Amino acid sequence: MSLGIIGCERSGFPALCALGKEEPEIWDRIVEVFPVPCLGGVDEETILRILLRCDTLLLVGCPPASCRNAWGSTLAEKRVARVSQLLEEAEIPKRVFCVFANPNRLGELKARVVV
Amino acid sequence: MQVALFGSDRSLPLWVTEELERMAFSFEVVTPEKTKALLPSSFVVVLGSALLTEDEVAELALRLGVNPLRVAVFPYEEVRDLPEEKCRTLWQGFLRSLVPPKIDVAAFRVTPTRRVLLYPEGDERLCEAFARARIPVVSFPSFVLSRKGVDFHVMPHDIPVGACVLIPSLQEEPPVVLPREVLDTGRVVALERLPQVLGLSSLRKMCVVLLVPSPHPYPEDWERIFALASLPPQGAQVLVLAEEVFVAREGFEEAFRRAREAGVLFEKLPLSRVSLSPSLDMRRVVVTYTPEKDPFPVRCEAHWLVPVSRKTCVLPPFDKVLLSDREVVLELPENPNLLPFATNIPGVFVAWGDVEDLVVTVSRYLEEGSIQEEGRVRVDAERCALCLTCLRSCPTGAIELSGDLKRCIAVNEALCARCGICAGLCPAKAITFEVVHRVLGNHRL
Repeated sequence: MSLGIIGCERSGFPALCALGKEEPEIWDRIVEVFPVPCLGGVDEETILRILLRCDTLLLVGCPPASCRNAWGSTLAEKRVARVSQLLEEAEIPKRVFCVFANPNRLGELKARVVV
Repeated sequence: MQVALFGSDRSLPLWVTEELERMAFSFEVVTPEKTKALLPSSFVVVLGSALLTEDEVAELALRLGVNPLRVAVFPYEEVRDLPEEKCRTLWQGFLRSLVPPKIDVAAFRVTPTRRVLLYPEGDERLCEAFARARIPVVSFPSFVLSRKGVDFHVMPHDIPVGACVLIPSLQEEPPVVLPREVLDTGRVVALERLPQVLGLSSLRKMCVVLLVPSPHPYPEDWERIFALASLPPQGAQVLVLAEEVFVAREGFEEAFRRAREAGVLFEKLPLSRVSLSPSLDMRRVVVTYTPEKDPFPVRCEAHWLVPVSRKTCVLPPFDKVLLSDREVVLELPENPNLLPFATNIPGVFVAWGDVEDLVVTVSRYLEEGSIQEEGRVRVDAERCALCLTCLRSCPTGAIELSGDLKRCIAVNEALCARCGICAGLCPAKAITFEVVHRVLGNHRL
């Protein structure tokens, strides 16, 4: 199952790098990595376009309470919910998840990435 | 290109058919009674006056078997009574809007001439760096520069140059106006000369007052100020009156702490609150100031007064050099979203800081015809409806209403954190944000 990741430059992307150092085998599964300044700027269209080329897409960002841009992660969460609903209604077997992580808090990301 | 005219069966006027033929459209007339499936690529023009609702358009598109976006309405009933000339122009414009003109992107990828103009004349270091990169350099004391296409032209010699590098000059001015009487005491000394002066005289119970303006002077000046901590022996008093203490550099915070521990007093206040006068015996300078914390003025007698000059970079008068129809506004490079050397005029650079980096940037510009800017936010004034969603959503408060016309919002790039939230939320998609698109574009989406 191929995995795509959009990570925010503040927390998500460094968290992914930290996890990659711990468990280098995750890179075999990940086909796309996009660092973006903030998850709040990633719109539904972009999510769907990236989803064309992977089975699962993770949006990795700061925990909502500590998001640098105040509501970037909250916005991303809403959009992911909307896209997930669309995918379920259309019965497309691809999935999008919002994951909150930073280099000191890898648990949730680890659970999603490491099989 | 096929166009189906949807309307009544009556004979159409000549201007309708003539213009269609002139624009090489093949057309046919479709009526509500006799409909048939069309090619998917064909356009449907409804010759009517009433605007169709979305449902009606969808139904029509379904009946004719075309994409609903290809159905357009021409207000034929209202237009046909106008003079023929007017009808013809309206119809022409309408047909042109159906098919957007194709732009050849490759035609815009023009690379500028590989030659650089330095203005005013560059120093040896800059010339050498350009010579190493094999970019010829021209510099003239006086000329007129005009722009044709991507190249600048240096007149009267008419040499085309691809890029223009402006060399700023450093201007120094005193932080406060020093009264004549204070200068007459001979107790005013420059920061560079202070260690020598202090070394000459006995420092016992001496008082040195430094006036440091903001924007902060060069880091070297702060290094000198912090180094004073090691200089004064017991009994000397050093007072630094600064508008802002600059510690944002490696090791500076540590040096600042050490200086304070050694007894250097730092006082933050606007220098306009400082008044200077000579003492009665004309051997000292009386400095009176009101600190920010309490309202009582403090008076101290300084043996040495050190005004650290306010240093500002002044760009050469560019508007007198460049004669063109383009708007000439140079954005200063404090803007974190611009490359350190770039201005908002493509092809014009400013030689701040590192020479090697500048040469690399210029060389890349001369090869590719453009430079990659860091995440500039662009606002399409045509689309912006001033709904102010961006204003409410911006976490850094970088959205402003543009001053003169207030027709569209403006982004203050000095405050913008490049998060892209405004672009994602804009209902009209008027804000485009280059970072996200560039990052994704690199992966050939």
